[in-house]
Amino acid sequence: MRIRYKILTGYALIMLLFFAMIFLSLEQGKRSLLTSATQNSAMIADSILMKTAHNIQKRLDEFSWYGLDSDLQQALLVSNTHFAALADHDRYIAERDEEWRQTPLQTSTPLMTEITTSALSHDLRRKFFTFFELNYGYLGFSEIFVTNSYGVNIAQTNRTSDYLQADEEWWQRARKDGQYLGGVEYDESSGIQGLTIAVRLDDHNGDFLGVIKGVLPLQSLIRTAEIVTREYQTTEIQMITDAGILLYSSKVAQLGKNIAAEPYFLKIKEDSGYFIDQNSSGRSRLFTYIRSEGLLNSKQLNWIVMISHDPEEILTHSILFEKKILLGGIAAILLATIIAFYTARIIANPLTRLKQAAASIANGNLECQIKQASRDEIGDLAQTFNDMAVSLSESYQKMHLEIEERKKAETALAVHAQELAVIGDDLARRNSELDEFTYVASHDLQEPLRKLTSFSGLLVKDAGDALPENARKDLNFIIDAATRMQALIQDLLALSRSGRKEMTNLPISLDLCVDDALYALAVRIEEIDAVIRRDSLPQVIGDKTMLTQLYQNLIGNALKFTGEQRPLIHLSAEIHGEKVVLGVRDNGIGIKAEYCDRIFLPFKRLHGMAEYPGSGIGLAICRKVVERHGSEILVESEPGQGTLFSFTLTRAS
Amino acid sequence: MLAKLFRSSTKKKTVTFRVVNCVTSLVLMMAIFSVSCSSQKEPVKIGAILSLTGPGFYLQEFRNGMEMAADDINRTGGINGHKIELIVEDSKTTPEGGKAAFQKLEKEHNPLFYVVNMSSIAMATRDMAEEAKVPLIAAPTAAKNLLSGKEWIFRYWVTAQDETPPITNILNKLNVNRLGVIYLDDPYGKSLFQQLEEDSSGKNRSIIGVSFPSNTKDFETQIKEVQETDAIYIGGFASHISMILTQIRATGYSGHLLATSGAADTSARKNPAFEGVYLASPMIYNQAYPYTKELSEKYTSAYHLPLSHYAATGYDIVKLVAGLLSGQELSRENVKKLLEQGYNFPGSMGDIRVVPGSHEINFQLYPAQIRQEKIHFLSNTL
Repeated sequence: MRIRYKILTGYALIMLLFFAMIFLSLEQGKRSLLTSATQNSAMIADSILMKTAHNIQKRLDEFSWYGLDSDLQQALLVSNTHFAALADHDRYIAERDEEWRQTPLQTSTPLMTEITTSALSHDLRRKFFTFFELNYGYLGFSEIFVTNSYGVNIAQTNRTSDYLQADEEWWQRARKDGQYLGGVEYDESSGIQGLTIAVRLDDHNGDFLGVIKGVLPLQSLIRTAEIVTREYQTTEIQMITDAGILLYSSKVAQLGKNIAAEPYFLKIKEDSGYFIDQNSSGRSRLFTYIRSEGLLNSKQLNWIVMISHDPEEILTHSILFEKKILLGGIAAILLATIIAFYTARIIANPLTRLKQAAASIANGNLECQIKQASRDEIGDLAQTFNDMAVSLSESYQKMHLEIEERKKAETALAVHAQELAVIGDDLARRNSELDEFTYVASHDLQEPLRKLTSFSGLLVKDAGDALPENARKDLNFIIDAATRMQALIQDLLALSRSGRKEMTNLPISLDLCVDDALYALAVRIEEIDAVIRRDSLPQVIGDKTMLTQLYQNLIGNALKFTGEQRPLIHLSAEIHGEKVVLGVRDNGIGIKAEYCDRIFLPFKRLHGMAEYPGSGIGLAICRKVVERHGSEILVESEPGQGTLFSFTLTRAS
Repeated sequence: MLAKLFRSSTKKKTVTFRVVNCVTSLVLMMAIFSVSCSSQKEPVKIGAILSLTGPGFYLQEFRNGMEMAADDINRTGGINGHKIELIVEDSKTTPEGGKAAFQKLEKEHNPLFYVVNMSSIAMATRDMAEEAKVPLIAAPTAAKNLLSGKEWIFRYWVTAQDETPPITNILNKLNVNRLGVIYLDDPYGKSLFQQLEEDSSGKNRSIIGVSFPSNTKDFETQIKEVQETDAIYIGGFASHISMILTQIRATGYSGHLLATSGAADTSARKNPAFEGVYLASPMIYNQAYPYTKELSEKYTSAYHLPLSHYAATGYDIVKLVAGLLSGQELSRENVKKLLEQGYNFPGSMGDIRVVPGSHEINFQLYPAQIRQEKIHFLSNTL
């Protein structure tokens, strides 16, 4: 991957990581907000329950307080006295109750009109209706009426269904317990749900005077309890009975409807809690609920306050912030991408130029230089590269010159080699011709020399006695000279043969060669009592005849040039891998260093013939043999210290 | 060979770069999509045919209320995720203007339901709504026969039956035996007069009624007709009431003066001629009324005006329909069905209960008197 892509990817990953962390934080914040909202809702729900209970208690207290009103007490006292004076008050009540119940709702009997328009009834409306309506705009009560101690109406704000109330539970319970708190009742005529309260009315002596009953309109009762400044527009506050009857909703709703089958109601399991539910359109709502354990200790008032919000509204700021972060993030990523792109260009372009320059140099343009635009590390790198290119160019020029010179030298060497080859060929041809000549000459000279010595010998034999002494001496000189010349030619012929002979390269035993050589020299060895020591000699690749001749010549040389000591000859062999270094060491007279090169030349002698007889051809033959076996013969010697001849042969595998 | 390898390597890098590019583009597109997708649902269109010019110009506050409710709802996600789009057309307070506005809205916007101001406009457009089978909520309209035989027409306002009881209450308290009624010659004014006549039947009270056309500014003739009465009751728009009261005061009339709920208008009350006038008033002008406290503060903050019952009604209508449609299908038929099903609505004008099948959405009026531009509520059970 290119550097610019690495930088871009790096930037992108860092930005993604950064925003992932921000979004994780936001998610945590959202959870906290929702938790906080449920806690607030739980507090509000608890407060609504308390205020509702307080409102109910307040109405009960208002009734109790109103029970002390002197006009009310006087009216009740008068009514009770009136009924007490009746001969048969039960019958009186029953007749009027029957008439009351039989009267259609839209009409009114004189008794009804009398009660409804009584001063006490006006007082009830003024104190309990008008006060709330005009001061607060809502109904404190939807219905109030007062009965005397006989249970019949003496005052009422609305027409009641019966005249006699003594048979009603609320009347009996209020009389017995002092007050009554009923359950929720739905009044079809008014279309509202109400809560019945009743309070026993006593005189100053505690004697029972009657009962006052009121119906509290639930919608007003709860609405006044829940009026708070809402934090959220989507907040809905509901009061539900534990049986699922909707008592109140802060939004438009069908009050009195049974919502027990609604999914959100079914999720109410505990005394309090919260959950998220979705409505039919898929919108989520966060519900928080609290169940009362019976308002004012009434088991009929086991109500549930449920507060719900749209979670999106709770999270509005958070979501808005999230969107801003997202938009900011996009802008930041785009900005980062642009920055990364330019950063990558700033870094990558010089490197690209560097690469192109390197490629140019690789293509032979050593004069290529990078334009140095920056003074940073990349600029330094470019400068170093330029320096390197200059240095490389100079080195190349030098190398080029050296190569040119070397090519010239090689050309000259080739010319010389050709010349040498020509010379070598010429020399070889001449050597060959010389060998041919030597061979032919020595071969052809042998016959006249043999005739010369034969006829000289015949002459001595035939006329030796007849010849003068001087002539006989001269003839002996001629025979001697011819014999020596014959020997000389024999040696010359041997040397010539050693260079011309067809050689065989076969595995041979050096021991056998040495044995043959020693056998040939046995007389001389015995004669001078020489000691021959020999290492174990290996098998080598070579020509047996030639190598036997080699050892014979070297050992013979050692037997010839002996010193005063008893002759001691050591035949050595040192194996070095495939090669074996062979040596012939003696303890003879030795050779001066300056003569060591000359001893291998044919007919070169370091001593007089009388002192050490010989033709001086033996070591020349030795060198020829060794050279034909691909080696060279070396000599190490000091006068009086003996001589070592050594040569190397290839071992037979 | 090297060139081949280099080409292969370059191809691989190009592919990698394209993949990185594609992924980055995809991430950016998704991010932009997620930011913008919240506003993709079709808006819920409300066609509002309002009296923005002409005699009913004061009903501009009604539009303010509707706008504020729509803004509140839209801020919290709209109706089932659909933003409310309030499309307002000026009826110019004329039936023709109302009809033209209806045709234009129906043709160009096909709103989910209509809200129409003024009885005359509502009466003029109701048949069009019936034909188009679209719910039309009229407010403020008190025309007696507005809903007669109509399936798609609803009223969110008080009727003459709601206007007259507090007035009758006051008349009783003031022992008025001769009542003069100056009323607007439109369905609303006529129904007021008829209702007062009905309320007074059987009582020792004579009633003289005289109407005036909507565009008149001179009420001398009408005033002369009722000059000899104990009290004069004026039924009309706030602008009419203001002019009539001024002209009555100019005659030196010494009897009691009463007016419809239009006199509660905050702007009109600044006219000194309103001093001492009795009226049937909505409770929102009661300082102790708790239900509109929050709305009143919000409205004043937004429009730098005191909350009027017109603004509160406009606000309530949008809130009511939005509440009914919560989680429900957004169709004209369903709006009608929901409005008819019966419900309780804790609105800013009070706890409103609509019985199943009813097309009347009424709030209560209370007897009151204007004193030093303020409304003082009187006992309802005098």
